[in-house]
Amino acid sequence: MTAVATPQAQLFDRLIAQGKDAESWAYLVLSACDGEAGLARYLDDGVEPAKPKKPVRSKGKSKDGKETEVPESPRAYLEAIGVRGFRGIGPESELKLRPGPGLTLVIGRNGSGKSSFAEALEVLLTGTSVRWSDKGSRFWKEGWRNLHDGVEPLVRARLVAEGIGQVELTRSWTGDQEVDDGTTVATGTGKKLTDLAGLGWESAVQDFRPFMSHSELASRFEDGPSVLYRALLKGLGLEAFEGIRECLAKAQAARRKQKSEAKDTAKLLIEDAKRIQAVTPDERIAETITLLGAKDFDLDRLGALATGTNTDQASLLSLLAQVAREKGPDVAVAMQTAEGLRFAAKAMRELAAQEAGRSAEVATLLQAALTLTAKTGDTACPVCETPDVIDADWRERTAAEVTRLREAAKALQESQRLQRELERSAQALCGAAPVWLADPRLDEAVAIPAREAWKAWRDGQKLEDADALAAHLEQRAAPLVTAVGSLAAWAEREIAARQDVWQPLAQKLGPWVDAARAAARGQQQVADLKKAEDWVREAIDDLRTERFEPIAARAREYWGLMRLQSNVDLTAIKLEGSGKAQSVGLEVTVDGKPAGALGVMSQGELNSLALSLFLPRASLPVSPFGFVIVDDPVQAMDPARVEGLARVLDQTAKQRQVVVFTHDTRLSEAIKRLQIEAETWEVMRRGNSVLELRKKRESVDAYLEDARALMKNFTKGEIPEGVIVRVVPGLCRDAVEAACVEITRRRRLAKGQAHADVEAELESAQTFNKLLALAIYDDIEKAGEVLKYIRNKWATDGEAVYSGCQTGAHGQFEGDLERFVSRTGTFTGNIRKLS
Amino acid sequence: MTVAEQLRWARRMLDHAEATTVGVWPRASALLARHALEELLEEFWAVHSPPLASANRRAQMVALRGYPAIADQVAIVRVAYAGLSSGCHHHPYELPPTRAELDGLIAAVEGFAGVVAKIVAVNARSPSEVVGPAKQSERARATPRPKSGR
Repeated sequence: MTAVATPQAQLFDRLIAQGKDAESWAYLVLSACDGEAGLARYLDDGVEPAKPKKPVRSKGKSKDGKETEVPESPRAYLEAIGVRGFRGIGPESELKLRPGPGLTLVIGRNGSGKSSFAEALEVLLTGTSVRWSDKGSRFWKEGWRNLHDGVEPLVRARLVAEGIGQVELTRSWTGDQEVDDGTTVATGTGKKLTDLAGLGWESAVQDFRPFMSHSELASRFEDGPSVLYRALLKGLGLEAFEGIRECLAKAQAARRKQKSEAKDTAKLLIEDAKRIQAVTPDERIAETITLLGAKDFDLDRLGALATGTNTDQASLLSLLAQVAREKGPDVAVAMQTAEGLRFAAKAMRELAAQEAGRSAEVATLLQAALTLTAKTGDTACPVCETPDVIDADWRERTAAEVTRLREAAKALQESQRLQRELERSAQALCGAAPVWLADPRLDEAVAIPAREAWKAWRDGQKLEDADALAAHLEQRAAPLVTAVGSLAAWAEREIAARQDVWQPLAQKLGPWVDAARAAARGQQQVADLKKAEDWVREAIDDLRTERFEPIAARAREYWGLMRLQSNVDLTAIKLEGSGKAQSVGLEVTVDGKPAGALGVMSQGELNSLALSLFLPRASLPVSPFGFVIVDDPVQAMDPARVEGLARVLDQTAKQRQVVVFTHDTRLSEAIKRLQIEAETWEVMRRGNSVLELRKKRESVDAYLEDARALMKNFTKGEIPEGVIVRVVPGLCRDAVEAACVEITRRRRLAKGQAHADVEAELESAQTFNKLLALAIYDDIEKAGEVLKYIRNKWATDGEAVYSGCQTGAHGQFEGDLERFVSRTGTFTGNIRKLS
Repeated sequence: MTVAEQLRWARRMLDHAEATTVGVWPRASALLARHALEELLEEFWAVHSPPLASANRRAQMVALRGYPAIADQVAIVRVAYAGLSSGCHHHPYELPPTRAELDGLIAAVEGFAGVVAKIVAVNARSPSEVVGPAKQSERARATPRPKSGR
């Protein structure tokens, strides 16, 4: 297979050619070539598509219709079609064809089984036949059955395919199955072949459809111009591009849907919020309602609301959390401190009541007396001057007293220090209220008692007296703790309430914000996606026009050949519209005046037009089929157009193997007259659906050969004389008549007489004599002078033939039949030599 | 060769795909059947109106209408004769008749053969009618050109 540039490479090429490869949407086009997944990778994950390798240039056809750079696909040509037990064919029959371009005619009466070959090939390649599948009814579905030999139906074809070699396609099934139950098997010499798909023919047969039957052609226009459009478009290879465009369109649609879904969900969320707000007012809910109702969403603020990072809310919530945590002073500590204070105070009082207050001074005085008397040696008291009191004994006692007094003084000091410490910690215990207690957002019902209790508690700091302090602690701690507890309980309730109301909404709001963010991101991509899609659409339109132009040009040419005397001229064939409104525009003129196309045409003209359109499609250079099967094209065609048809078939046959099945000898006659090279087969069906296929010969020769063959079989004793004597003279007469027709036609047409007129005159020459008159005198009126001419010019032999034909045809032949046949040969030769 | 034999051969060519008659059988069969029909007409005229046997076929076909005994046969015979004639003549644009067509045409002739056989039988039993010699002479007159070997 020839390498054809991928759609991606072609589009990339085009982007560069237009200088658009740097556009923001260029990557969208390229990534869409990798399908929806590829596009998603680029849009969502930012993965850039791999740029196509150096593209293989494929420019299609240039405007002048010449096939420039389009690679010709390797083609398959038919060598034989074999059929058994199918449709009109009983025992196996094979139609041999010359592989390669050229024209082959298969002619036979309706019901002769000729179309069975065409249908067999269609079934072989497509699995069905349009002719019956369209009808749908059981009658048609079962119509494939041959009544005489339907046990083992078989259709097969032998083809030679360029680059592959010989390919044998076979499809068989059993008589109690349906055609659908069969499978087409491919075998061959070349590569490993198994089925049609492996050959690449399965889709190609749809795209290029090398079958054209009368019924199919006739219905081409019935389904309207858009169906015609789609049918014609197949084979142009635009599906891949269309797929890329759809991919881009889908991405846009998905994003638009995201946006509208975000809006719809916002509405639902607002309703939710309003319902809650009505029962439990909450400023966050109120704000959410406002934000969701706005034209443009403030997603940052909504996100903050949903996740609780909103500052106002945070402060309130943290305040409440603080309040809820507050327990006030530790009552146990307060009570211990109070107890310590009272104990210290009592100890002080007791010490002071003894000598504790003076002990330090007395000890100092006694120590001074001891020191003085020791220095002077006096025995009198230095204070009261009483003599002889200072002695060793006194000195000893007094020294002991000094020590005792000093220890008492130290104990007192210690007690005082302890008391002061306790007082300080008691004062510390009565600390200031926390700052938040003053917050106005606190519920006054519980905040005011707490504030008052705390204020009273704090007053303890001013107290100096240990007993007073102890009393303060004992009286104020418990009430404060109670008040603070009430406040904390309120805060606790407040927090819980807020969670109950908000949480469910926040849970919905969170995902919505994410979706809305994605939608918002998507909205930014939509514009580029649209640009990318528009560009691809434009590219498709260009490609379509570019690729369709050769078809249109050829169709106009073919129609020009076939219209002949039709006053309908086809001026333009265009592909119009876009999307579902696409159609084929056929511009025609009637007698030079523009007219609507189809209405003014006869069925025969429509068939010709359909053939003009679909023959070029089947002959597209990229089709792998080298053959085109045309079944019954002459039907409903007036005689003049048949000659045009012959020319069209001849044109097509220059590049394609054209096999035409027809029941109408006008086509083969026209082909002969126009000296178009063609092989003609004649099909006849005998008993038990036995098919006879004979190469068609010149009529005159055919009759004479048949006559001779019968004579031979008579001599061999295979046919009785009674048959011979009745049949052979008849064949001889036919040979003479055929010779008359031949010479008259040749002479008249050479003179430039219209073909139809010649045929009309021949048709009016109903008798033997009139035909001879036309041949001899070119004048139908001179029937009476025929015998005279024959006697004069062709003597006894001639006269014998003349009379033998007349009487013998009616069974009264007498004489030597063999001689009669040979005389007839001479006679027809004489007629053919007439000028 | 009798009419019955001619008709049998005409049929045989349709039904048996014999190599001896490949390709030629449609015309040959039509020719045989037409001969059979012509002979049947001669037999009929020999009984009812010997002079008509020499008239042309078109006149004979018209004349058939005058015989109520074969009223139901007239149209069939006319169509069969036209069909068979067309089948055994060369026509520029026509292919030989199909097997199905010939089958119908031969059946028509066979039907007519039955009717004629009855008429002939009735007349043979009637001594007042001199069928044999009259027929012979009429046939001689009806044949302008060399007589057949029959």
